[in-house]
Amino acid sequence: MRRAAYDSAPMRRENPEVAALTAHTQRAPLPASAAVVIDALARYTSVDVAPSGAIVPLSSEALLRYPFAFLTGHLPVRFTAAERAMLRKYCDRGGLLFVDDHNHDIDGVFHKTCTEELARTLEPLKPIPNTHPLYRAFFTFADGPPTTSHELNGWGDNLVHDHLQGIERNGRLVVIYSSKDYSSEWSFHPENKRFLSVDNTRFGVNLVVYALTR
Amino acid sequence: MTGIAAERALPIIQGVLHAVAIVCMALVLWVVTAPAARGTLRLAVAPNGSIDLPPSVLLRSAAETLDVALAGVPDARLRATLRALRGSGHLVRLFAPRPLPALATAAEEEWRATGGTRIQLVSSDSALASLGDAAGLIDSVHIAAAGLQPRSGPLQGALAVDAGAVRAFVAPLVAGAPATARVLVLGDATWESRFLVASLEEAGWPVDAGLTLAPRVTITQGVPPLPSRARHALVVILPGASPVAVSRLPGFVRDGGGLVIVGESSRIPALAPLRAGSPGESIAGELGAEASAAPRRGLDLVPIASQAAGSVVLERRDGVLAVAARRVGAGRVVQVGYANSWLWRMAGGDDAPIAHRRWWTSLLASAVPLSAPVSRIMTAAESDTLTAAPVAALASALGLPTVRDAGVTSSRRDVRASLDLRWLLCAGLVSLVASWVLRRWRGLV
Repeated sequence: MRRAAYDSAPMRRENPEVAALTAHTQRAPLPASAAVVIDALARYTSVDVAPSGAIVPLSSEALLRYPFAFLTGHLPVRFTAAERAMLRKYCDRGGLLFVDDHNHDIDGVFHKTCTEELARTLEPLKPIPNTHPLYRAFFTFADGPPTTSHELNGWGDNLVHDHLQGIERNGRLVVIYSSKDYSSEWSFHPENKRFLSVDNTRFGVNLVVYALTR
Repeated sequence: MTGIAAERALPIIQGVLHAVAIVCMALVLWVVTAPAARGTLRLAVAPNGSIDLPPSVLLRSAAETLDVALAGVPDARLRATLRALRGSGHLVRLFAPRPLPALATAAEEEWRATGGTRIQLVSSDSALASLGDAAGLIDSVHIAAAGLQPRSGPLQGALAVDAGAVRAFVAPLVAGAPATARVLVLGDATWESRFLVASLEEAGWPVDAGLTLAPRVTITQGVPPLPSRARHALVVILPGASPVAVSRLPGFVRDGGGLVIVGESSRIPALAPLRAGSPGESIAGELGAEASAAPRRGLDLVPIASQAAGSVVLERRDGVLAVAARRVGAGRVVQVGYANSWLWRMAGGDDAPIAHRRWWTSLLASAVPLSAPVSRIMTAAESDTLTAAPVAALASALGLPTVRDAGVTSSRRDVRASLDLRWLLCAGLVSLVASWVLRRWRGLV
């Protein structure tokens, strides 16, 4: 089992680590989301991952030690000046921020305020075409981003979102924004993957591999 | 009475002339045929940086000591020749018989993918100087006697250095570019590989890459990731490179390719014959130091525990070897002990991305196989009093051997070198002709 291998691996700073962010208006994000993504990386790749993610404030310099970060929430988002400055610095230096709307509702407060804040801090989000290399970075998702059970069950905005959105710098995505609520979809213990016919965290592998190789 | 005295003196004069002619011819024969004496050879460097001897002749000189009188800055070829002579055991001493220019400048093109110029400046006094070229002002810098080595992008025409009363113009020395300059990066997909490739591409290097993601999954960029002298000038090896690619590296380097061994990859057994030294036990970086004035203190280090023969140290950290280089066959190998330089780029100070890019560029530039530099260095400046310190700084900055006993000439003289064949031949011929005239005057046949 790869699981045993990565659990026993020593933690090294050059290893890919996943940071889950907390903006000052959000509660601490779901730690299970980071855990299942790390588990998926260990299952499918030989990437030498650290066994756990970290939760860091968006305004902290510590964010720069995690080139892949995951921001999720359901409350209104308002970045402070320090958070805006840090986010700009993070993206300028090559970090990749994955933002997921935990409300899965484009009429919800998180979506409206977060997209506004990202536009104010960086630039407006644009749809990511479903032919983007992100969808072939490791697994192939020919139809674009995989759907989530929340979308299919008609919760939130009752829409199946065809595209993710993003912000590019020099041809590379620095922000990926999802309205699909992957944070709910991935919020389970990794051991429970054995009950799934298809591992729904495989897209998380693509996200991290894209960050690692582009 | 006078006639009798003249008759007695003429044979003596004739004998003296004979003797002079014989001595001159003997000296000519000795200079031409006798083995060289091991003494001191004096060289005078002209204001334009040249000497009256070809460097190839200088290299064959058997003199133990070379006293080099500087009236100008030696050109690059002469500097290399003097460095080679010093390396082979000759004592090379520099001195300035007359005041040298107060401002010494040199510029040479540095091999970077986007082009660049390395400028060297030495002044007898601390001075604020402005640097410019035909396109306008480039920068202003403080020059101290210890010298300064700023870098700039490609120059438009000559470099102009204006330090108040002193102005200098320098035509950049053109470095021979490699025939191919693609870089191949091999290893596991890690943050180090991701940010290294990004930095190199931002610096303009064309990069191929083969990054391992899973046992049978390799992300490739460019052609299949195997080293090839037909395509690649350099290979950067990170931990996790495929054994097939690594097995090709000895041949690649011996054929003239450059190799950069990074961090833990120095432990790959197949690289043992190539590396600049054997790796020691890893040393963790100082937490948070990547944002300090010495950012590489914050990086994990695989030190070079014992140097291979012929390797040179490029960087030390806290007394241990961090970066070293050596030549293998026709190629060059640079061993970089730092394992996670990406942390410097991400979490370093305000200029960290630029500094990280420049650092990697300079490391790669030192491993790129280049043809010999061509062109020349010119200096032109107002004269000023020059003390020994700037001479030493000049010598140090421009790559000359260290000055020893500046201004002191050797007590041993190379007599052979000081004899001029043309004057000896002239003196001998004049003596013979004068002797023949005297004989005819005396009525002798």
